[in-house]
Amino acid sequence: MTAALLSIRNLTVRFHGERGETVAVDGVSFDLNAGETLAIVGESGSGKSVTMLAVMGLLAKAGVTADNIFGCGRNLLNAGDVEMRAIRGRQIGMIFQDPMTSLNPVLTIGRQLTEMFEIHLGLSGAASRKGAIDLLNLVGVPSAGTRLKDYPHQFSGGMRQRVMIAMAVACKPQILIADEPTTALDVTIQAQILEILSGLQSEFGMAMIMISHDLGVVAGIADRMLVMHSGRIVEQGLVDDVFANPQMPYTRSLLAAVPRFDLETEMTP
Amino acid sequence: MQLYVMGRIVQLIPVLLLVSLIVFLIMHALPGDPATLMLAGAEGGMTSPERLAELREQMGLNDPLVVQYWHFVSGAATGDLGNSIRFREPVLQMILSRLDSTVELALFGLLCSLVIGVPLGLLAAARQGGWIDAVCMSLSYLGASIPVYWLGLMMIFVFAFNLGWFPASGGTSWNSLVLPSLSLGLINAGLVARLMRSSMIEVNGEDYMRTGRAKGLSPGLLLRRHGLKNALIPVVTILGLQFGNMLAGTVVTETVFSRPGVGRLVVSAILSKDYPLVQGAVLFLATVYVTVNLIVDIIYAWLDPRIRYGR
Repeated sequence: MTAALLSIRNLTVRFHGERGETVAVDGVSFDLNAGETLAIVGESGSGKSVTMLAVMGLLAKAGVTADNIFGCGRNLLNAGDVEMRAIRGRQIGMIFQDPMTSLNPVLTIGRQLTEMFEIHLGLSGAASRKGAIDLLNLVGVPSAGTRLKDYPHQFSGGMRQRVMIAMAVACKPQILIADEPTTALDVTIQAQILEILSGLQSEFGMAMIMISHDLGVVAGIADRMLVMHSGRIVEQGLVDDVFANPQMPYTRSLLAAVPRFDLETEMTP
Repeated sequence: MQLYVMGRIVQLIPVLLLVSLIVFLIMHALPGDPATLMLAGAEGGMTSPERLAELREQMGLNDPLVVQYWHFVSGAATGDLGNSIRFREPVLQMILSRLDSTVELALFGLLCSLVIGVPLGLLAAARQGGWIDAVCMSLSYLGASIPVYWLGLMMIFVFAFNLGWFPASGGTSWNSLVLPSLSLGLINAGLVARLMRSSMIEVNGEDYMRTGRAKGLSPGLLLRRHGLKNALIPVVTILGLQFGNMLAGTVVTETVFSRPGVGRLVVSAILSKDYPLVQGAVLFLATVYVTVNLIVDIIYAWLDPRIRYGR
């Protein structure tokens, strides 16, 4: 617990709506160690995305409280706007679920990639262009040099997600948060994207938080997992342990919901 | 991009043909005979039937409608819109000599609408729900509901008559442009501000804006580089329509401020039943209007690459 890269204690997120207050995240605490992959699983609305958006300071209108949020050697809970901006994208990269809407439709891919180098590393012109080409090659976008001039709508869904990944890892962050990165993609592309993510992770030595409701994805990529339900962490442990011996009824029902083809079971509608 | 522009220009041809046909038919369906009017004006009502028949023949009024339409369109295509009955001058020259004043007014009206409307809308969007938002929106309601002639008269009353800062009428010096363009612009700025506000609020909720924040962009850069261009797309449409309306419809403003523009020319031509002038001016203004729309479409394509590349 001494060398945790990200350490969260008692994080609570409240949304103030017209019908009163909703508690989206309720006293969540966990650590992320350097180089590991932590999966956060749970159904829609269980608070997994909101937890990470709160850590990134991207929930403008919500009430975020915590005993402590400590990440990348800094106290993120009390960090000011300027300090948080230097962490976002630079120390913590983030990939979102829907690559179709997460890229700006009116700017070229090149512009959206090079601005990472501009704002965080102070590079410009040829240097940032070269960086962008290297990144696209790294994530497997063919003919990277010419594609810099293209707009997001000229890319397929899988290619757009590759661009999103390239953008998120542009400044070699210590932590990469992937919020359901494969949910909007079809199965063959999912496998490619996961491969790219774990390849980049070992190459850059990043720690990764993979938010997912797909237990197949989690089993393939993560070291440890947290199971969230109604804003609380209901179970956590090594992925193998949780899969082999789930402690909580909710985790058991979650695992039972995954269709198995290696077991002879009666399918009930 | 060039292909897109060429395609749009080709699309204009049937539109203009249709406009010319409609204008022509309306002018010929209206009661009154240009030849009679011409003689009445020129020879003090001393019209003999022989003289009238001679003039009708001369003006080609006895030709079948199709032939007359062909003369009108083929003339218009070469820039000849005929001669005014009342002033006996080429219609095109009369319009062009007054166009400066109208374009000037419309341009500065548009500028006022843009300079007031866009920042107001952005400010309201940034402080959504706050008192600045409320003030901005009340102002925009006010702007949208005040008639332009009333605002024009009030401005003359306050700034020309009472304070004496600007001239009340006339149209040669620069400071005579301030009041008309401000009154034209203020009316339109309300709509621009409302649209800018709602468009910006919508864009702020888009996923790519969240991506921008997650990348560590400062709010200013995020707004300028990622937000504004997206949010401006609907606003440009309205600005273009407003500009077209200002060019073709500055009649009221020009009348209130006694500016010698195209709008006033058309009104006086209608009152004196100067058919060639009305016909020519309407066709001319329609051409201007569709050209402005073409320019809007080009700006649109520049803003949104999905349009530029035809998907």
